[in-house]
Amino acid sequence: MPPAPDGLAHQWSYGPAQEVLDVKPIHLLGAIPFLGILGGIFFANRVTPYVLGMPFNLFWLVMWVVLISAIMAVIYRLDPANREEQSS
Amino acid sequence: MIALAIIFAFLLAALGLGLRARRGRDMDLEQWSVGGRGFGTVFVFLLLAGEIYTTFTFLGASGWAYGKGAPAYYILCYGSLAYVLSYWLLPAVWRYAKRHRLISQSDFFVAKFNSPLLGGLVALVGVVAMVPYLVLQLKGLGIIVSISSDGRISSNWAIVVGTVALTLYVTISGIHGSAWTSVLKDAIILAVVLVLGIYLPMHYYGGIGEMFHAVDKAHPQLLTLPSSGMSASWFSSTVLLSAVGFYLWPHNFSAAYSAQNERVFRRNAIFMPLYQLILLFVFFVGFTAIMVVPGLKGADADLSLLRITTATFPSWFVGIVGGAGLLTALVPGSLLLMTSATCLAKNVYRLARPHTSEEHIGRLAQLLVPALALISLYFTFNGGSSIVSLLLMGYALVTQLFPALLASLAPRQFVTKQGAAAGIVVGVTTVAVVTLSDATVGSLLPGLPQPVKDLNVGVIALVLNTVVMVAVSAVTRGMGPAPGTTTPLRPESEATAGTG
Repeated sequence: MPPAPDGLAHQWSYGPAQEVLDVKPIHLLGAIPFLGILGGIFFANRVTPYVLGMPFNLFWLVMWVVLISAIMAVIYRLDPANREEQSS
Repeated sequence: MIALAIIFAFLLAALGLGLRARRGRDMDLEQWSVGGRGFGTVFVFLLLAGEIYTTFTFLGASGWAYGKGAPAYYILCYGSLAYVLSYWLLPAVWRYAKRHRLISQSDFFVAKFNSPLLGGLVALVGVVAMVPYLVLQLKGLGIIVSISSDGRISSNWAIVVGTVALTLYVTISGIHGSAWTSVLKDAIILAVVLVLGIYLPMHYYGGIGEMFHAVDKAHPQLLTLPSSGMSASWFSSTVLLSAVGFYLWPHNFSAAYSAQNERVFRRNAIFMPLYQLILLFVFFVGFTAIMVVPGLKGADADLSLLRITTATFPSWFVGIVGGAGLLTALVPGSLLLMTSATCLAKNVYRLARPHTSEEHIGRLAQLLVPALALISLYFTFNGGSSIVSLLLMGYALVTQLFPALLASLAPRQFVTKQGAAAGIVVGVTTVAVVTLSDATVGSLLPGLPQPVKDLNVGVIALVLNTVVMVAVSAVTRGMGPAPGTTTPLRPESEATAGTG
């Protein structure tokens, strides 16, 4: 447990901006999966055509789960936050 | 009997790993509950992923595929979307938690809103939401042991024995035990689910596509979302609600504290969604079971995975499946118990006795573990809900913390502690009233169009919650200390701050 004055100085030197959600333009890519799953299901709720043995609605959702992983990889790569930390 | 012996061996292995993980470490509260904040990508992955593969996914997801069909797909989606959110949410939470040496989820609200009372409220909501979650793990344990023993051990006895094992396990090892058992559990569950999900459709139908065709022919409505009830609108609102609530579970929230650095979360956001795909094979098992072991109605659908396993495989393999199932109840169950106990000791008990020492709180948390286990045991014996409906109720409750959390992470903190508290109270009350009276949005407001009627009721509670939070904040702004000025969380200041 750090002594109190130390703790306070530590807090101020970083400033309150450290704790806020840090959203940059590239992060907007993260909205795409929400559209694909939450909106897409209204249109993809069908059994046919079967894709990879799965009914179409199931395939649609599985496809988005895989795409989420890809999209997050892109965001991770392009996000400067991950580079800054590596150097520290 | 072979099956039971194997399940028992799994239990001993889990207890052994828990004991081993503890050795050589001094167990103060920070070690016991957040692992000294030293976990890297792999361990945090396993802790959070381990949390996901619970009895709920193993028995509940196959049970829903069996009993309800396409609506079960929501289980595949919400976790993946929660990981997308985690990319932004968890680093912000982690940074703050590390700086202020936070241990429980409620500590976060105490520090952010400078209000121990709000922390107490958050702790209570979390614990109440976790009871149905614990109950479903215990139900799962009971199902697994009684089916694997061919009914020789009654489900009730199995639940009692499981609860004792769970309590021992948590008291002995804390979070280090959970992380190590996660390693064992994930390896086995992955193997078991893949084997069952691929072999069963092949064995009974000659392939996954053939299996779906046969199911569609026999039950034409099952493979699409219905036009009312669990419709696309229900699906979307439930996925959104659960994705938002995912990290609001006290145990998920504080499991995030155990990471070494914040990049751990960003990297995990890439891999965790792929891990979700294991669920696909759980669905395959549930769908295959529809025509192989027909006739399981209501909450009994949760038995489908084990029934088809015992109908298909030799006893030793049933034992392995049962052992894997035991671990899926033990790991999350231990996290749930430990987190509830820490929350109650730190954030509720201390409201009444502000000058309790850190050491005493630690001891109290360990004593609360058996007490909480007993309460869950009581509810397990007195309720007939299916595994998934129990979890949906917990999610609706815990999600009510989301507006306040989001507000606390905004650049300028508009929401006051009074606003946050009022919003949470209104949201939780709405969920409780609606759940207890068995109402739906449609029965409350019959004039609305069908898609609105089908919305998950937690979404309505969330909207009311947000409206109240903003309104009360607008009124109470300017009263008390300026929002956004947070004090470091220390036992001495924590007790007095915010009460004046």
